Amino acid sequence: MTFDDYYRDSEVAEKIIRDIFSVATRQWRIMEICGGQTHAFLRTGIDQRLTEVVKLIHGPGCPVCVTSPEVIDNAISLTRDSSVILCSFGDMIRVPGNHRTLREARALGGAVEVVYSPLDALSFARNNPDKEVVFFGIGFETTAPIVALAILIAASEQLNNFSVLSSHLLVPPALIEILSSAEAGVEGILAAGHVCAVMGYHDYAPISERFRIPIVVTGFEAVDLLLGVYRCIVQLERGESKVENQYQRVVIAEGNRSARDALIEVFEIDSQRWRGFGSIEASGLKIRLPYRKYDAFEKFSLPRDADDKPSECISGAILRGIKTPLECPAFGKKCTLDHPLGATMVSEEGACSAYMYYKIG
Amino acid sequence: MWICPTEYECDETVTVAHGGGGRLMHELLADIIGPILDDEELCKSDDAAVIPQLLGALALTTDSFVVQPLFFPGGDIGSLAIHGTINDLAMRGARPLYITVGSIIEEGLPRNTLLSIFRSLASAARESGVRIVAGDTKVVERGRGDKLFLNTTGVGVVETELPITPTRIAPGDRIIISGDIGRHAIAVMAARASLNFRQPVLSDSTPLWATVRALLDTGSDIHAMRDITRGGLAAVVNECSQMAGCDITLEEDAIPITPAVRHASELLGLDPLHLACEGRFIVAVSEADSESVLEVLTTITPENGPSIIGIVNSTVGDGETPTKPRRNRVIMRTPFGGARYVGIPTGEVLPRIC
Amino acid sequence: MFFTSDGELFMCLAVAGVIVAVTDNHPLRRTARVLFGSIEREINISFVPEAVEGDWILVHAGVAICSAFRDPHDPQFELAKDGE
Repeated sequence: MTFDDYYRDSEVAEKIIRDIFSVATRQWRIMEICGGQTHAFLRTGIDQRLTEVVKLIHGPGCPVCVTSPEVIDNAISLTRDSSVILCSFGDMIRVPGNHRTLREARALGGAVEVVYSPLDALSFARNNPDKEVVFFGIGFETTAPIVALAILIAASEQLNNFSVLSSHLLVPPALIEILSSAEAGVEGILAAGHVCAVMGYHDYAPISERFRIPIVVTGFEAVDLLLGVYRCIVQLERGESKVENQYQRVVIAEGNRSARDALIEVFEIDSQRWRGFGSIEASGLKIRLPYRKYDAFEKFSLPRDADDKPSECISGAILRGIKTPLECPAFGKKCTLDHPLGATMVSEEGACSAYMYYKIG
Repeated sequence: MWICPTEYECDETVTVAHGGGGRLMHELLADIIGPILDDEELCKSDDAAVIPQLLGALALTTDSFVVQPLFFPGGDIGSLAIHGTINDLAMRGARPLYITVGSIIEEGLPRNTLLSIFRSLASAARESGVRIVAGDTKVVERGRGDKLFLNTTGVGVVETELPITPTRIAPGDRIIISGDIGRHAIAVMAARASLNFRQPVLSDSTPLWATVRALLDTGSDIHAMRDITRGGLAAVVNECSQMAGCDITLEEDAIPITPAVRHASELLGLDPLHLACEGRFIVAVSEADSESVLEVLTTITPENGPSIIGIVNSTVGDGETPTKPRRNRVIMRTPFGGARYVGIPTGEVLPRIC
Repeated sequence: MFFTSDGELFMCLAVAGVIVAVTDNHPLRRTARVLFGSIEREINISFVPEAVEGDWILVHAGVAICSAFRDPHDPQFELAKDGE
């Protein structure tokens, strides 16, 4: 038996579905934050079992989807420098900036290496002393400490040919943005389990209170998601609004102190541009002064701000929970898995790719 | 930990001269490769092989093999080439008889590597009673090829009365799978990425004609068979669905996947339904014939876990979910009582897998 | 080394594994062999300084991001130390 087997058990899932239906008196609008959760709902088909009592609103928790096109353009501009090796997570390779993708830049002769970990980028730097290795660091709070660790290791080794093009994002500010605008009409939230594994969930109490909204920290397996939904609906039916933790086998309120320590050592909070949202205050991470030599923006004098270009892609509305992929005129026609117009179709965790792959109806 | 079996004792390598048509090439072919392949017709060294008259409809197939790395747990490019060619013929109900092998060798390939692969080709052919009757060898300069590419042509004789092709798939047919999926892809991945398996996953590369012959012997009317290669089960079932003009519904719980393949897929973020196999196939038969087909598969290779995995849908609205299926889609019922589409993966999930 | 034509691996999803052996105790580079089902990988475990052989951890992008442990509310759930 492996770690998650219980949480994949269809009999356990069936019982929780019965419990959900026994407490719910109406349909509730619940947002799952993380793209991995969106895909899990659709891949297992449990969203269909719950349609009478849950309207799922897909959240912005897909880092590939919300990375601004401008920073992708910056990454691409670096690949034109023949002394640069750009290392990136695989998911980012196909996402279009304002003009093209990293994969296209690679086809045009740029040195782009797909890596599984920022630590692999460090190896590239050690093994290629005559090259400038830049790690394209994107992600939420789950990934940021790992990038911080890479920078700390680089600093300890005085690795001068390594830097990070950082576009890290924080979930709570985006959540506040979505809830404040009230366009999506979210009534309950399933918070991203792995982000909370690192950061804990103290940040969510003020949000829960301010917007009177239940927030349940939830995992990624079918039983996790169903338990998260169940706990959310129990609160909603009772008119409660507090933070609960479903993902207890992994998440504790304080999160992981070591990981957070590394994060705040290397990064400071800054405003950040989100694809589809524009600029959100205090929603991103910027490399702190003591580590500026590992900041690719500084090293290569890259522009930090630029204007949004309009496009046919409505991923912004999707990421804000206002529209579903099915409401996009281009979905399945001009915009498909083979020919994506925007990030939510490119990304393995984007709502649009999930709908194209899995969703019936 | 699996270790590549090739011995690199001899540091002789293949050079461009070996492909030049001159004495060196003649030596390579006549003195070394010829005896390994050991075929009477081949060794005559005529420009073409002449084979005895064949009675029945001929099946022909061609295939190229670019797998990287050349050696992987459970096989190599040589055995893969023979099995792949045999299986293409078998899928049409044709007994495989003759194979040709063309090779494009990159200069610098160690001779022992080449010989090891040819021994593997010869052995795989012999095991299946197939003759390698013609071949060709070219050598390209270092950097212009990637160690070795193989191309084959296979010839067989069709042994069924009715054609075996997905256009014969009919509503109500059962889709049966011959065994667990994804082993070949994971075996190649493991070799490529040096994944450390406690128990190595071996490629499922295997010849399928004997199994197919046993299925034909049941007297069942086999509508279609397809072997699962690149693109995995998802690709093959979608192809059948398109060609048949019918939706197909699969049961996720019925699809056999070993724990090792499952773990590896999760770790690497791959969908098992997209993983290549090289010795697995699906059969489409009527419900009436499905039990005897399953019984034969279970008798021959019970350890692979053959099972009935799906049904071909009849009209729109058939079944409780989904309520309005679109044409020509593959639907999978999940263990959680939901349903989702199974799409064809975009592009290549894993390049150079076969 | 490449996994897919674009090296696509799930970013957000972390995977649970069990520590087989700690191989390096240097503070920033504390490393362990970790077993995921039937596959072992070298993982950086500097963020879980208290974790030892036999402990479960959650791993993302080559780094352990937290410890993982038994669900106190689930009496049926037995942690298996052996992946299969």
